[in-house]
Amino acid sequence: MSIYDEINEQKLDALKELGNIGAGNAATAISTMLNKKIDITVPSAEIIPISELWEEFSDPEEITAGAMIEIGGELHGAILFLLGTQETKQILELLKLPRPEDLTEIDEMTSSAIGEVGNIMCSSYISAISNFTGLNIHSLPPKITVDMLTAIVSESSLMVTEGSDFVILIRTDINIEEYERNVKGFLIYLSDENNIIKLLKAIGMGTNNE
Amino acid sequence: MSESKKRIIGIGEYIVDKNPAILVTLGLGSCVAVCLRDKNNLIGGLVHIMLPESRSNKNDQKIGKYADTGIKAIIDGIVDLGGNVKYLEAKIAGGAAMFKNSNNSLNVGSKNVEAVKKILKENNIKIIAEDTGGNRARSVEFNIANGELKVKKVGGGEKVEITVI
Repeated sequence: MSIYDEINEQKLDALKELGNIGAGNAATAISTMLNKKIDITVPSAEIIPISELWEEFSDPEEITAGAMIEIGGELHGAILFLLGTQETKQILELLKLPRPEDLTEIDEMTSSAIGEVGNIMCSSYISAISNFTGLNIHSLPPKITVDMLTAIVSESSLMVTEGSDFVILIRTDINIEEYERNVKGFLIYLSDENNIIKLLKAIGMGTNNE
Repeated sequence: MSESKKRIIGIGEYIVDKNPAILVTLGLGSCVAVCLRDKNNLIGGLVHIMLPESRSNKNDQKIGKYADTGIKAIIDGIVDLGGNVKYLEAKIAGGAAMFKNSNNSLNVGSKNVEAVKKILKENNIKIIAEDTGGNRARSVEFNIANGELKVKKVGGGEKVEITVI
């Protein structure tokens, strides 16, 4: 039996809770950076077969900015942060950076700003995992790309797991003071089976799989 | 042509069908879409492969994930529907390196393309068109009626460019 059959609601809730803690840390970091009140919530965490990924998004071919941060140390995996074209522009504007005309042809500066936002989001999640589990893990420098949404997810998953069949999708809503619309993003936890078992064990939710 | 039913194929999966049908797959990065078509009997198949060979992972039952097992699966499927291996022609797309600063993904993409070409050659199937490599992801639509392969890629101006091969 695959470990993914054993990931029940309770375990997903635990991963979502880690997401909430991470989001809290990220909100504080971004608030300081922007000097605005920011609130980040995690409405849901789901486990998705990679073959059904395209069904999860309203526009699977939407042009999206992605920053992938790999996890090093006692746990191997990565977290991918995704923001749509408009959302990315909103965030860049808030960072007082020039709003790019064309997200598909961004310069170094814009690219590294996207990387930095992704870095804050993902590293906050990674340090939440580290604090909670006591595992000695750290984040590696971000890798950035702008392309079609599902392609970014499947490509990152392939790079990190060498062919895992599932990803864990954590939705994030970023609420920014003075902004009416939520900035909706995705955090995607990429990991192979062994490392998911390790993580679940470390948060006290071991499986019978060993 | 808009009458044809579109069938979407997920990552690591495959479908074989008869005319009229349009086989669609989204988000090919280093993955490769292999499209085979018996031009006389109008039967075709598409597989969205992720990795070159299944050998390294024997217990994996998702045969569409690998070039070796995936291509075999669509050839067999086409024959089952009454197609003839002799009439098969191939079009392939994918094998990009999306993350510029990563050697790892560059290797997977070109290794996939290499493996696909080798396996098609072993089966005496000619590649009549391809759109591979580069650093942009692709989505494709394969029309079994006329063998057209529509390739969508992110271009300049935040638009998706469409080419037909």
